[in-house]
Amino acid sequence: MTEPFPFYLPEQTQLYLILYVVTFALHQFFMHYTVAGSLYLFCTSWTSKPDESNPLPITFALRDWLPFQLSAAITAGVAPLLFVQVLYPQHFYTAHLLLRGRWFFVVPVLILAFYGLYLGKSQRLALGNPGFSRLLWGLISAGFLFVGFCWTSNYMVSIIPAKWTSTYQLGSASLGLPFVTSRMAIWLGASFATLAGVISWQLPSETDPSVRRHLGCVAMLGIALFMGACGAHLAVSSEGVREAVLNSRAAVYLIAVSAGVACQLIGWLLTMRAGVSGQSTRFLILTGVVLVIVGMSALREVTRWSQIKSAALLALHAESADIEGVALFALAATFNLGLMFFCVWICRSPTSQSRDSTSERSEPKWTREKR
Amino acid sequence: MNYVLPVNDFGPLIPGLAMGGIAILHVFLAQFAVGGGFLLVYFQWLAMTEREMHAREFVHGYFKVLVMVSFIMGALTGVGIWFTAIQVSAATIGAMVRNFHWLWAIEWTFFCLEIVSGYCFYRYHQRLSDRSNLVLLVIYSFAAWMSLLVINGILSWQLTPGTWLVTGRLADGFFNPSFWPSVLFRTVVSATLAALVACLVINLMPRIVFEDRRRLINRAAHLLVPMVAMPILGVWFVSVMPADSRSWILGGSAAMMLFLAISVGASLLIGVYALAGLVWRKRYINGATASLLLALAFGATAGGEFVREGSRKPFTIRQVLYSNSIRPEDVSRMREVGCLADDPYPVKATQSFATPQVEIGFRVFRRQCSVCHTMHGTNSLQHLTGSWDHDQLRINIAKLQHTKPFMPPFAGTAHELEALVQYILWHSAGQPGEWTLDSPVDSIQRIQSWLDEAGTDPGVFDRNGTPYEATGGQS
Repeated sequence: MTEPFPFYLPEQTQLYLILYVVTFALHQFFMHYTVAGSLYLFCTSWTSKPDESNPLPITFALRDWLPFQLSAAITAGVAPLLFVQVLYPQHFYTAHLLLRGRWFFVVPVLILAFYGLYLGKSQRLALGNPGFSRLLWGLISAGFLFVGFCWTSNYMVSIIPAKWTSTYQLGSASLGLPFVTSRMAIWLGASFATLAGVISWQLPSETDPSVRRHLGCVAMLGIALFMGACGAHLAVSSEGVREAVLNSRAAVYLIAVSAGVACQLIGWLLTMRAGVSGQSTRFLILTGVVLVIVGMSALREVTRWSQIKSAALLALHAESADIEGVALFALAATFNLGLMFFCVWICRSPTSQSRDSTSERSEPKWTREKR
Repeated sequence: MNYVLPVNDFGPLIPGLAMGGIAILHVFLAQFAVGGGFLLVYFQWLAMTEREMHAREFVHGYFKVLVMVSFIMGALTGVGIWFTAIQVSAATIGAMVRNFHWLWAIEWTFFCLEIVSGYCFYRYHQRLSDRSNLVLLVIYSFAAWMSLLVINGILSWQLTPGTWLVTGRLADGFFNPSFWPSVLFRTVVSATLAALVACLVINLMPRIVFEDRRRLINRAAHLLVPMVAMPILGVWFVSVMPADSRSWILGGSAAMMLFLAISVGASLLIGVYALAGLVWRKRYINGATASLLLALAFGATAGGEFVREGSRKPFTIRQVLYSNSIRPEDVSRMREVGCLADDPYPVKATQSFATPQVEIGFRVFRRQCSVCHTMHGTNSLQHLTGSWDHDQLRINIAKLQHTKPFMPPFAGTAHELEALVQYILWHSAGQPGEWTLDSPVDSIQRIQSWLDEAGTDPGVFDRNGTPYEATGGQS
């Protein structure tokens, strides 16, 4: 039986690849919410009437949680940024340097977007003026799309070493419009599906059925875009990429993605029909979201690995694995993960809410406002 | 690293300037985040024990500032440092990642803990019990300080790798000679920054009367008391620096001395004002004065970081990597085969040169000089070499590490050096379309003999005094 990617590779490479894929998937989870959330708010800013006293629950949840989600996306993004440098140093650095100036804009754009999200959270500013609201969410969304484009470019330049010198000489990388567009469409489609899956947990149980159906439509549109873009991307990709993705070593990830899509479709169909989503349905959808994200993150590496001279990297990974510290990392990760759960437990524990546990503060803010 | 990476041109600016700017900002914000944790724990305790009636209100306001400034700017400038470091010297960041990737990964787990505990407090503190809030703040504070501790180990390793150079062991690299003085110094700085920001925040709290503000400020000033240890920690740090690095900051380099003086002077001003005025005499300071003190603290941080970065010259990682990303052990080979032999990157399509030799000179400049120098802008070669005659240029570059011991040795052939000289002179002449220079017929042989005399080792900072010790941080 053929071992799936990356389990046929040396142990050291496996370890780094698994850590990279897992942390990248975690980053994707938060990042999907942030990107799709801001785009959703941008779109709804054109259709819905501003009404401070009765914000839509989805809108409210998004405005409330987006700053945290961006913070989580950035924090979670540090680990894959680290492991990609261990895995593919030359490819990553070269692509980064060839794309030069745009990296100096990524951080300022993210800083502005971050403050923009806090501004968007402020109801007086964000809802008081529809024009301002549209401008704000439009700029924030454009900023996130720009950052996404930078990372897509980095990935694509990194896997074509044969074009590095010509890219340097010409001062620009010709990535191919259909290739970039389809790739970004995959990401955007999956983002909306993730967003809907997470939001369904954030909405209170008494949420109006129409809101849940609306969320289902958002998810379905996202899934449709995702599937269409996947097909288009495979069609415009090289034979090598297609072969790698459809290879038996990648089969488990293709199955995971397909199962993930199926779980989400079933979950949303049930939700849309009933107008409510029980905990088991929401779990089904969330499982689907996680399967799609992890499967696609792994397929991304399958593709990369097929395009670069992987044998040359194995020695480098073996050398890196000789460096001490993995046990210490495992210990620190376990300890800190425990503390993170403890922090969340403190906030959820009823005994912690001694000062004003009966006050309306413990009630979701949007329901108070609605009332 | 046995491959050559593309080098970008930033016009009149050197990439190091961008790196310096973002690094200083990040260090300032990150240290504020660490000290902010200490301060919040202290004020939460004051609130719980009812020692300070406005402590709870202060904690609420201060944490908002911490989130708005440090969580956003601090976290993103941290990412910005990665991006900028790759542009400046991917080889340096690559070596740091390669040797300490598990430490970076550990630091990431503490960073995650810091964000989770911080946001838990930010979102829920008003409905949590005092005890729960204190626990969250203690966890936040611990995570932030651990993050500082881990990063400090990696940064101090760059200057003083110590016995790691021999053993290659993680513990030897992490607990290097400058680890403890720098981690303690940074902890004191963190507390100081947090206290100064507190003075500003207290002044912005609208509902508190003057006397209560004064009392709050005096409470916050308790975190300024550890500043008394700064001179001792500073001297400790300087004493464990490599002798040549110490010589740059104590007279060897005017710029280094100036920045050290700025850092020491600003710290002294803050220290005297804080200890005499706020702690001893229990005075009040208004928002303007607090802002001024914070500006001074930023100046002190900037000066200190400049000195810390600059004193590593000619290395970015002592004994491991020169500032131009060339490894000391590669210099001999590059003297034989040339520095362009393994450089696959051509000149850009938009660039044109008078002769093929000038083009080679440009590529030598790009490979060996451009990380710290420009031709016309910042730290330009034209200004630095403008008064040298042609032969002086040749001999000074051939013996570069002896001409200026904070420069790395020239790592190329005599032909490449001559090409570099031609490029500098062509540039100085205004880049004419046609270029002929009366190159002495025996120039290559003379350059070769100067290169041989100079050798391939780093420079000797005190040729006639203490011999250079090729150690990783022992003076």
